[in-house]
Amino acid sequence: MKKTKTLVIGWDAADWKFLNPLIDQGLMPNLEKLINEGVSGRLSTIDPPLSPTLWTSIATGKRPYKHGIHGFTEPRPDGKGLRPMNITSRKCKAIWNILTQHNLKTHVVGWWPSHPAEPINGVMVSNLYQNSKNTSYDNWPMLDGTVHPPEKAELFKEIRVHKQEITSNHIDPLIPLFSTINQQEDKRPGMLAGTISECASIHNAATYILDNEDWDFVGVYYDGIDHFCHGFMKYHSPKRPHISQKDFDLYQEVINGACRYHDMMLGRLLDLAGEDCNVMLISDHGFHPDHNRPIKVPKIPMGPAVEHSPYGVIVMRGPDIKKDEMIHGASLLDITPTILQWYDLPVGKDMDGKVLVNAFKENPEVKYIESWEQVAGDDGSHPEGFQLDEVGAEVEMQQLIELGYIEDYGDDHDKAIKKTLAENKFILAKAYIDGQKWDEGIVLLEELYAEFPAEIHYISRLIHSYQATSQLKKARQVTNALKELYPTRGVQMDLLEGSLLFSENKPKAALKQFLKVKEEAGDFYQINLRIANALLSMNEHGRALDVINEELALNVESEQAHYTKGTILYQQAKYAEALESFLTTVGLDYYKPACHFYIGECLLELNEFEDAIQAYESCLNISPVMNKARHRIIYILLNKINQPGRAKQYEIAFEDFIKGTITIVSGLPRSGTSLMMQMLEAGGQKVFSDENRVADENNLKGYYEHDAIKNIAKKKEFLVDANEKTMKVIAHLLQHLPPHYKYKIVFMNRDLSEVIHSQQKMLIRDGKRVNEDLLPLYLFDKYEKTVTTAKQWMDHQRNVEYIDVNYNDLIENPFGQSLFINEFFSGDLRPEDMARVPDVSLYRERKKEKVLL
Amino acid sequence: MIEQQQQQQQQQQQKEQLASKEIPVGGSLGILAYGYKGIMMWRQVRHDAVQRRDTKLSTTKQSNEEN
Repeated sequence: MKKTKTLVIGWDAADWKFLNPLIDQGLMPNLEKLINEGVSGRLSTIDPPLSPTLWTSIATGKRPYKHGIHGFTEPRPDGKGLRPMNITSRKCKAIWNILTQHNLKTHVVGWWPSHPAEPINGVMVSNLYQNSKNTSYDNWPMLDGTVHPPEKAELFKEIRVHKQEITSNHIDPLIPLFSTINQQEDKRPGMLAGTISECASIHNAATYILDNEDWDFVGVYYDGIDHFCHGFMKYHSPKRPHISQKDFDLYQEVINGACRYHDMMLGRLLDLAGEDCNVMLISDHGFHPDHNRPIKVPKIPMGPAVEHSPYGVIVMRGPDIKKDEMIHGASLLDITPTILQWYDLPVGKDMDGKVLVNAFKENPEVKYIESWEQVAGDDGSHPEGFQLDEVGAEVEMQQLIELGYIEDYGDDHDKAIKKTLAENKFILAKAYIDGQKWDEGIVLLEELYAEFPAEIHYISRLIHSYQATSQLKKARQVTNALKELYPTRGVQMDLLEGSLLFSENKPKAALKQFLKVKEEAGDFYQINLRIANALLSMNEHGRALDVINEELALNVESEQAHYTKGTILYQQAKYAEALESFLTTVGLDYYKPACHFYIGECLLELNEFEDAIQAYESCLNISPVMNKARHRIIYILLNKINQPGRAKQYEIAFEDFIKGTITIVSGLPRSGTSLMMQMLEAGGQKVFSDENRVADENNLKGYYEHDAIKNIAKKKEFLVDANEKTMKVIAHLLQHLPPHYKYKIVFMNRDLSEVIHSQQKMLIRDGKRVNEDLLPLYLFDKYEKTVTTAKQWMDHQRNVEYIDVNYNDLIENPFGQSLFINEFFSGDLRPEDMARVPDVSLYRERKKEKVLL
Repeated sequence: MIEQQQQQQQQQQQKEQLASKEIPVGGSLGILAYGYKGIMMWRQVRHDAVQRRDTKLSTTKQSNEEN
């Protein structure tokens, strides 16, 4: 372990979009100095953007489904109402527990949630410390459990600032026309005074600790910017049409003034901390200061979160940190791993974040342990069975109600509990989905749908999840039910319908819906992105590009718009331009493995091989299962820069990520694939088939198909069930097989004219009008190309081995061919049983000579 | 011992620096931003001001009564 000092400062909701203009004007000198002395960038948040959830992810490096704080409230153990989710609801260690275990002097102030304060190796001041609501300056008690150690409680109690102490001197810089306000009618200045005093209380506790306590780590969390923003961002410049001129004149300076107040506090913290320590300033999410500000905040639980933007801020300074540089791709999940790295402590493999190695002057050697949860010893957490103070819980509940995050159910405990359990389930579902755990998320959403079939925010999330996982029939079913329920719900329903039509591969119809939404609602709901994607599906690249550029003119920091622009340009083979768009995308949001992959693809096309390898590496760092990227690296090392030694390590890793082996029977439709399936089944192979398509006149012994395979381009999860089995995949779908399985492919070859005639016969038998005397040449060309492409693809895959089997040979010499196939399967089959399967009487199509030109 | 003296000197210097900022009775955001020391000194200034006002009031009252 390395002895060092770390100061972590949390500014809830800070966003570069409103900080940068102030920095540019020289109005935030302390933040500017910190930026110049270290690295800075955007910190991407996670979903759902709820502060207690996010700050716990920051402090643990884990997603909500691992740390357990997924909501504001939970039912009380006695069933009599609710209590706030509190520090005892957390299921894993926070950074301060890990540091306490290493006997480091660790102090935490105001972290949300942190009440009741944990008995760590230092001072902990809980998040209920600063609250002065419903009290007076002379009668302002402090709750038990607010300060650890309890003997310091009185001292910290005295240095709190009550809102009644706030004067016009404090308010004038934020509301220059304060003296003109009638405070009997306008309660907003009173709210502002409360937030100023709460910030001051937190700041006093932090400055006291820095000035008087030995410290190795201090974490201090200010919620002020979030509160100022929720109250006053609507009045921030530029004025929006629905804001009255009077309100704008009165309150347009609040956000700027609040930021400058925070800058002054920052300056003091930095003075007290000294030059040589590590400093990290972060926010959990941002806050829209621009055209993205919603006109109305929905009156639903978590409604205020619509004002949040997905990017917070990060600034880091320290002896090991680079100076005056930008960092990209930081996530709030990375904070705890990076702090651990400062102390040279290992990162838990069960943490979801990574060390921000790019911020360090020298690439640090990152150590890992399985989990900090298994490390025994006093970690300063509450003992098992610890009881929560009921008074504290009441105070916190009231605060959450006042902030609009939860509804006030009064004495209706049953309703409160039912609704809370549902909301927490919803939050958990969102967290799973954000962590790409679709199945877990969808199960919860389906439960919610069953219980609340008219709750639109649950239903729309379920529909989106079905769409994202290609369960389109279910998505359509639920959408139709919703349309029946809310026949007059305009824009939202049109948007939902358009989005579903797009997933159903009906881009024209989807485009019509999207254009209608745009006409009715303007540039909201990422409508330009949707329009562009619909146009892209219709191969209208030019129009799609125009729409994306329109979106970028409105929102230059939309990483999705940059990404879409990149894909359009890539499809047009404009690799250099596409590369630029993809690089901008990862600059805005690093956590896009597909985008890193595309960067690699562009660089490969541009013959920048080493850079391409680096891009694929970045892709693998985020998503180690993307064997496709690993495969590309091996390809470059072997075929482009001739470094077989270097390729070896990737080949080993490639094997490590192989989940199993699947046998595939492939070829063109009517090339004998069903026959081969029957033979392999007879030979002892297990078959993966849903038997939905039953035997008919065209295939007397059955088709051996599975519906899921038709959708393999979009959804591949079903392959888990196909592992160690045999399935049929027609040639043009082969390239969609993911690279984390090994495939043994039996590829059926048959004379193309026979294949086409057989298909024609099949169409005739199905009642379609086809001239069977003519051979359509265009199909001949097309099939030839399909077979060539499939074979090229198989030749280039590390995880594929295949044999060619000729249909005619199989019919004429079934036993000989069965022996040949058995050899491919290392003698595991029963060739004599296989050889009995082919029935010469079914060999109906013979080569015909006539060709349709 | 020397360290303690240095620390005391430092604290005295800080106190003087803050005092030289002329803390207004109504406070300021700058004083709040200075942290717990700023608050303690501001409260002292408020306390002194109240005392001065009370003294002045009682003096005025006394002189009024005398007149």
